[in-house]
Amino acid sequence: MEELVIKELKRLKDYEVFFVQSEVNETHLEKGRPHFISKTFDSGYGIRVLDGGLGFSSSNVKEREAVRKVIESAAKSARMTEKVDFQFPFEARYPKVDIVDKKIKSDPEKAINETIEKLLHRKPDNMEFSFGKFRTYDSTVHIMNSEGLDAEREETAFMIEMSITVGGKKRVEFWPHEFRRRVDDFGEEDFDKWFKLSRDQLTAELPGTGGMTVIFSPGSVADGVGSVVDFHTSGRAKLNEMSKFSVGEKIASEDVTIHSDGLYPFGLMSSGFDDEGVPQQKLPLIEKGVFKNFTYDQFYALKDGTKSTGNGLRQSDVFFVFDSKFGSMPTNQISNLYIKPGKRSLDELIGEVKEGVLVEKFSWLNPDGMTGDFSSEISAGYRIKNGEIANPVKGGLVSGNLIEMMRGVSGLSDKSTITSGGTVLAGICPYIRFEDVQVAG
Amino acid sequence: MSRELVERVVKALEGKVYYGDVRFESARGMGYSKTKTKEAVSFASSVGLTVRISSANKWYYLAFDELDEGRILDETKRLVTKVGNKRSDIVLQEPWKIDREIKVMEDPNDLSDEEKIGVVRDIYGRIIGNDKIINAAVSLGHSKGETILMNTEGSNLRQVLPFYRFILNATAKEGKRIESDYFAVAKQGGHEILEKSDVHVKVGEVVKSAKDMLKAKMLKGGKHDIIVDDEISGVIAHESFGHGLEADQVTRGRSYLSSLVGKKVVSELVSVHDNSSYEGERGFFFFDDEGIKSKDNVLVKNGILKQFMNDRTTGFHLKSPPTGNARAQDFSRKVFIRMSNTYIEPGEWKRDELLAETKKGVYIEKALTGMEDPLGGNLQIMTGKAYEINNGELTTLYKGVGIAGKVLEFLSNVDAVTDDFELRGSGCGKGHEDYVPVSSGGPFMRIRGAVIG
Repeated sequence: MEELVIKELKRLKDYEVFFVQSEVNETHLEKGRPHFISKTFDSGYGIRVLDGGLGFSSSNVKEREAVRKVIESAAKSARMTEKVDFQFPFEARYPKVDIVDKKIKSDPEKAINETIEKLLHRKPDNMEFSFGKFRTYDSTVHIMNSEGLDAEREETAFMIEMSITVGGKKRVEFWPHEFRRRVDDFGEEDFDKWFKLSRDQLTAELPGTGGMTVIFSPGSVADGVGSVVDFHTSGRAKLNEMSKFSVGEKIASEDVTIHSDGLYPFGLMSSGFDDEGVPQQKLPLIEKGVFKNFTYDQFYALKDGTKSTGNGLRQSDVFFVFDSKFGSMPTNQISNLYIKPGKRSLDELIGEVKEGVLVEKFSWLNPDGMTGDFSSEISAGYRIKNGEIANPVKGGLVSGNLIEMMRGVSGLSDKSTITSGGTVLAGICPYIRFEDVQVAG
Repeated sequence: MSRELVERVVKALEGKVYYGDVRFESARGMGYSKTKTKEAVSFASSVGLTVRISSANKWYYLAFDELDEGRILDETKRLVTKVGNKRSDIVLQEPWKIDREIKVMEDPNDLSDEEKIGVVRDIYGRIIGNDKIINAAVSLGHSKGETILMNTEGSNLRQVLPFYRFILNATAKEGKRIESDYFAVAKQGGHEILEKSDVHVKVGEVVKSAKDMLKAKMLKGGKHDIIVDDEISGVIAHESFGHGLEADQVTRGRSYLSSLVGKKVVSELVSVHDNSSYEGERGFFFFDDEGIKSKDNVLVKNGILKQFMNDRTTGFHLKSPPTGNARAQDFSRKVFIRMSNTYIEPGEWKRDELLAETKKGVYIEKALTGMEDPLGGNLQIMTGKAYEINNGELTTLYKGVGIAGKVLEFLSNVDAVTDDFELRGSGCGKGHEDYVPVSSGGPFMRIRGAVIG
C-alpha cells in the first residue's frame, strides 16, 4: 500500500502522508465467560497537500484508482481553501521513548488470556464480571513528507473495560475503562481497588448538598483539569483569541506545576515524534501556578511566528481511541498531561478535611474546555468527615468551574499515576484537593 | 464486485457452521469547515468486510480492511476449521431479500465543492460580523454508506443510506468571560435539510444566545420543579431509559429494568419508542447488522414497560424475537444491541400554557452530554442553559446545569407533556466506545422536584 501511495504522491510538490497499520485482538466476557473473540486488520492513510491552502483526504482503500482519487481530492481541497503560510516539518533527531510492550508484540492473544485469568483468579467469590472487554493494539505509524521527513514508530496499547458487580437484590457495579501501553501496567493493586470500589457501592449514600472540599482522583483530574489546560494552553486558542491564559500570569495555586510530557515512559500519548513528525518534548505549561508556554502544532506555530512544540496529534473525535488515527488531521493539543505530585500522601490530604467528598470516579466528567464549567454525577466516591472516610457515596452532582477551581487547589498527593481518564486525555496525575466546591444530592 | 465477494465468502461458511454472516461496508464523504484561523475541505472513504460465526455460544469475528479475496477466504476457512459446526443459542430466521437506496431531494454531490464551501463561508461571515463575537465555527458534511449483508440462512440484503450534517457555533467575549452557543442538524437526506432548517434565523438566535450567556449566572444546586426542552427529553429517553432496555444488559444481569416488564414504571404521560424505521432520521436503516428488519419498538406505553431491545442472542435467552437493534460502529467492531431513533411521544399541553401554569421552577434548554447507568438507573445530563421561572415567566438566565437522580423516580414525577415533537441527530456510544448514528427527541416536559446543580 505504502509504495503505491508514495509513488502517486511524488507527482505533487508539497505533501505529507500518514500511514497507520494495526492488528487489533479482542476478547469479551459475558458473566465471566468468553463470548466474543476477534482479530481485526486495520490500516489506512491520511494525506495533506499544500497548494496555496492545505487540503486533507483519508482512506483505507488501497486500489490504484482509489488512491489517485484520494490524492486528487486532497490536492483540489488545497487549491480551493484559503491560502496559508505553511510548510511541512523537516526531519529531526528524535528522542527514544519506550512505548512498546514485547508481550503484545509477540503473542497478543496470550496477553489477553493471561490478564483475564489473573482477574478471574483475583476476583472475590461474591463478585461477578457482568461484561468485560480486553483489547490489544499493535500499530506501526509511518510519516513521510515532501521536505524529506521519513519517520516510523511502533507502539502498543492494552484496553480493559468491564463491569464488576456485587450484591443480591440490590446489585451495584464499578465500571472501569482504562488504556495502558503494556499489559503488565495493569497490576493486582488496580484490580483490588476496582473490587473495593464495587463492593463499597453497596452501602453508598447521596453526598448531601452544599459547598465543601472535594478531592478528585487521578482519572478525574485528567478529564477535568486536562480539558481546560489542553484548551487554554494551545496556540490554537491563543490565535483564535479564546485563551484565558497569558504567559507570566498566575492562573493556579502555587502547588500546581503541569507539563505537556510527550516523553514519559509508556505514557499513552508518548512517542519520539508527534503525528506530523516533529520531536515530542517535556514542555512546561504551568510552573508553581504561573503560565509559561503555549503548545503548538506546525500550523499554529507558523501562524504565530514560532516553532512547533511537537503537539500536532491525531485522535479520532474527542474520545480516546488508538484506531483509525489516519482519518483525522493533526490538531494542536496537549500530549500526556503531567502534573507534578505534591508532598503529602492521600491519607494526609483526607486527614485535613473537615467536611468533604473524595470522588474516585464520575459517571462522565466532560467539562466545557473553553469556559471550564462542569456538572457531573458521582459514580463512586467517599464522604469525608473530620479527617476520616465516613461512608461511600454515589449519585448527586459536583459542579463548578475548573479554571476557578485551579486557583483553589489546596493539596496534591505525593504520587502521580498513568491514567487514560474517561473522556479526552491521557495523563500522569496525582489526587488533587479543591476547596469550596458545590455538591448537590 | 463487492457483492460477488460477499457471496463467495458466505459460500465458504454454508453447511460448515451453525450460523454465519458476511457484511461488507463502504462509505464516502466530504467535509467543509471554517473557523477564524482555519478553513478545510476534506474527503474520506473506507471499505471493510466482517465475517461472523456463531459456534458453541461464542461469536467469532474476522475483520478485513483490504478486499484481498485469497486472504479473506484463507483466514475464514482456518476459522471455520478451528471453531467447528456447533450449535449456538441464537435466534434463526427465514431468509429475506432487500436492495434499497434512499434517494435524496437535493444530492449534495450535485453541488460543486466551491458551492458548498461557499455556503460555509457565507454563514461564517454572518456570525463573525456581530459585536462581541470573537469566533465562529461552521461545518457541513455529507456521506453515503453502503452495506451488503448475506448469511447462511440465505438472506441477501443491501442498503445505501445518505447522511447530512450542519453545525454552526458562535463564541462571544466580554472582558475575560467567553461563552458560546451552537445549532446543529444531523439527519439522513440531502442538501434540502439545510434549506429546511431556517439556518439564517438560527444564526441570529445563536449569536444572541452566545452574547446573552455572557451575563448568565451560576445556579445553586438543589431540588426544583423543572421544564426541559425536546432535546433534553430525548436524552432522558435515550441515555437514562433506553440503555437499560438493551437486552444484553439484562442477560448480563446489568439492567435496573430487568424484572419490570409489564409493570407501571413511570408517569402514565410517558410513552417511549425506539424506531429504526423512522425514515429521514439519523438512526434509520432497512436492516440491522445481523440482517434483521428495522421496526418501531414501543418500549414504554402510558408508563408501562412493554419490552426490551433484542439481538439474535438475547432474543433466544429471553424468548423474544430480535427487534432490529443490532449495530456495529463499523466493520472492525463488535455488533451490540443499540438504539436508533429514540423518543418520547408528544402529549397535549401547549408550551405557553405549561410555562404560564408553572409558578416557580427552572426552565432548562439544550442537552450537551448524557451518560448511561444501566445497572444503577441513575441519571446524568449536562445542559446548555437555564432560566428561573417566576409566576409563569422566564426571568434570570443561568449557565447550563446538570440533572441527576434516579430515572424511574424522575420520570414518575413528570406531570405535563407538551404537543411539541422534534428529533435531533447525534452519536451514541455503548459505554465509552462503539459510536453509531442515532437521533433522540420528543416534547417539552415538566418534572416536579428534580435534582439539578
